[in-house]
Amino acid sequence: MPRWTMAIDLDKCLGCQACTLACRMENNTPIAGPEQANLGRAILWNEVIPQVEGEYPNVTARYIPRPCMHCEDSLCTKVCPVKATYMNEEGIVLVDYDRCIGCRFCTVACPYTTRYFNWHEPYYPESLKAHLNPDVPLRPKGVVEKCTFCVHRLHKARAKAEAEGRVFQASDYVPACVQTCTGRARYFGDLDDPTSLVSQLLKSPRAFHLLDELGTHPKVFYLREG
Amino acid sequence: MSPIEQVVFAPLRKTGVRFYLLCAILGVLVLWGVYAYYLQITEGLGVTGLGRPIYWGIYLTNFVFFIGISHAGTLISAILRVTQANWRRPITRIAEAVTVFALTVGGLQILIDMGRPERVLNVILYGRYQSPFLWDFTCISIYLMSSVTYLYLPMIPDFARMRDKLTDIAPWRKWLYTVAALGWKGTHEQHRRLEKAIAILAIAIIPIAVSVHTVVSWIFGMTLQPMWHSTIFGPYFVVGAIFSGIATLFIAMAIMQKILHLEPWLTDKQFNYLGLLFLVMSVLWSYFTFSEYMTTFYGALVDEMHVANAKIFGEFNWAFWTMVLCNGIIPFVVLIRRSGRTVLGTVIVSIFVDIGMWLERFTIVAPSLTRPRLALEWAIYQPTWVEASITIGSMALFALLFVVFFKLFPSLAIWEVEEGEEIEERGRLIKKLSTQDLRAMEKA
Amino acid sequence: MDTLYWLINTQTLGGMVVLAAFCGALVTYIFMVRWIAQGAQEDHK
Repeated sequence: MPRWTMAIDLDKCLGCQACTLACRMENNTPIAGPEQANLGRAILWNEVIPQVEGEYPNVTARYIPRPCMHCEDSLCTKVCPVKATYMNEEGIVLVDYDRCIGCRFCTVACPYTTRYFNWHEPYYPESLKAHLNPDVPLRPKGVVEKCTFCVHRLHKARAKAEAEGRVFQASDYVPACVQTCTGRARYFGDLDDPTSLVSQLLKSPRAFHLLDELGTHPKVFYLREG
Repeated sequence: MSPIEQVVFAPLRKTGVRFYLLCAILGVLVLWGVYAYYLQITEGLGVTGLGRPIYWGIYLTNFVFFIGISHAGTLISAILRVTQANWRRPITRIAEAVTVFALTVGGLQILIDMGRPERVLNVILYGRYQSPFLWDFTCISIYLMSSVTYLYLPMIPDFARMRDKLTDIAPWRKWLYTVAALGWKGTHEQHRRLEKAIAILAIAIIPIAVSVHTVVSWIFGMTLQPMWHSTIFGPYFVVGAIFSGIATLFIAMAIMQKILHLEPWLTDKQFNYLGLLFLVMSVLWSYFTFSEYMTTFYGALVDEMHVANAKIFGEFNWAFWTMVLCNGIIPFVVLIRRSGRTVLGTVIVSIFVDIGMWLERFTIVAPSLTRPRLALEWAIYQPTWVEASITIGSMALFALLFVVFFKLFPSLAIWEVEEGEEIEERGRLIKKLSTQDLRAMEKA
Repeated sequence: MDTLYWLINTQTLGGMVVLAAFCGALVTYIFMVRWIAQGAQEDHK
């Protein structure tokens, strides 16, 4: 079984947020509107967080694109009372929307705040309704949702490989944000395969994890600038 | 009927306009809360002030607060019974009623907070024990069951009295008391068994109660959130729980003493002794609070400091300092004096403590969530009228359950109080005898 | 360790623990109350 991993090269990231947009279109995240967004109810599975350090004139800024970390020792799956959020055999942390009771224990437990809650019935403007992705289920009100590494693409890629009578390869599967990335800053692959690009990148001295000190062992890792 | 029966049974036999008026007011408040909840159900939790990252707010605060209050009964009826403190006798019934209704309303808060309350049975169907929620479900259900039994058992002899002596009541109530009395005859063997059962339960309920608020605190303590992930939370929450429980009990005692004319039993002695315990809990609470913030500030971890600063100097400073004033300073200043441990003194302190303990729960739940480790910006939590209405409705529901309960059931454990009086009487006799004996011996 | 993790991580198993605690307490207390009620007959013998 592969362990799907994402690498994000901060040197190449432009902060353009194309990944955020691609993710929204791919995964049918609903529109919150400015008023609700101000209350912290915008659903952005892949948020780009600007980090500004220091005071003028000695300011450094960096952008950190933040999908779900799909931690090996994930705190969200630990606290879920009903196993609505769980890690599948390939290391992807998913949510069962039909089972989630909406207690939001996982959302407060996640140190990366990557999990989102449906505060209202999801809203899509008419213009968007025609473009909803049929591969991704719409979430009802009152449940938690989050980045899935576009797991539907994995299912599709597997089915396609099978239909074409060939062996499924890691390169067949790529999440929408990785495919879109303007600066080609994102890499995706199988960590269990030592020859894969992500495995090689993880050995780089530039590689680091967000909040490594918490011991969550995220599967998303970053390459430091410079 | 004995004098105690006459006083205690009086409100069960005659109902004044005031009772209906009080019920009507509380009922309207509860209905208003129900309306707010209906809106929340139809519109979604978006009607609250919650959002990302403040996923939990007032409802979790209420949950911790009410479950905390439920520790009143355990302290009074169990700990004081085990230590054979006789002055506890007139307050056990009131304390146990506080426990049962606070637990009911507290448990309700979890349901109110859920995004999909109709799926609550998933916790049984798909429950996995690694989640601290399951620990809460286990401990709270055992505690609720034990408390209901512990409320019921000492009522059996009282039920029998009501069955035999209350002739002028509605037939359905007569039937209720007869069934609930379980054919009680007051025989020696029955008394022996009742006392034994109560004694066992009194000891068993202490660790159960401690476990309840420990696992409640572990909902927060088991996460890695700044200032939640703290080993002190278990005992800190238990102390706070007993503290707020006594406060609520004092308020209930004072009101019932006045309205139901229980002055001969709820005397200055009860207020004085319980006031001393109250003082001890206040000092313990201050000690835990100090320890908590001292270690945070000395260690000064970046993420923890963001939260601690938000509480002490930031936007939560009003709640924090009001809490310190209400829970630490006011109780100490008033209760340290004998003249402060009166009905008036304890009630005033209790009102402050209930406010302070609610704020304490609030400053634990909310600030940590407004300062997540990774975020665009720090969040601000502004509860809406829906959360306020449901909170007021919950408090009204607690009061309503309490009022209706004591309309139907006696406010004192009559037989226990009588037993206590007998013990005191015998003690006096023995004392008298021994002094006479001594004098006789001296003469001889 | 693996067995322990299996025990705490398996769905429904935790729910059964809650149910068992609930039912266990309920049954215990019902028997307790019954035992007290039966005390009335005991004296006649």
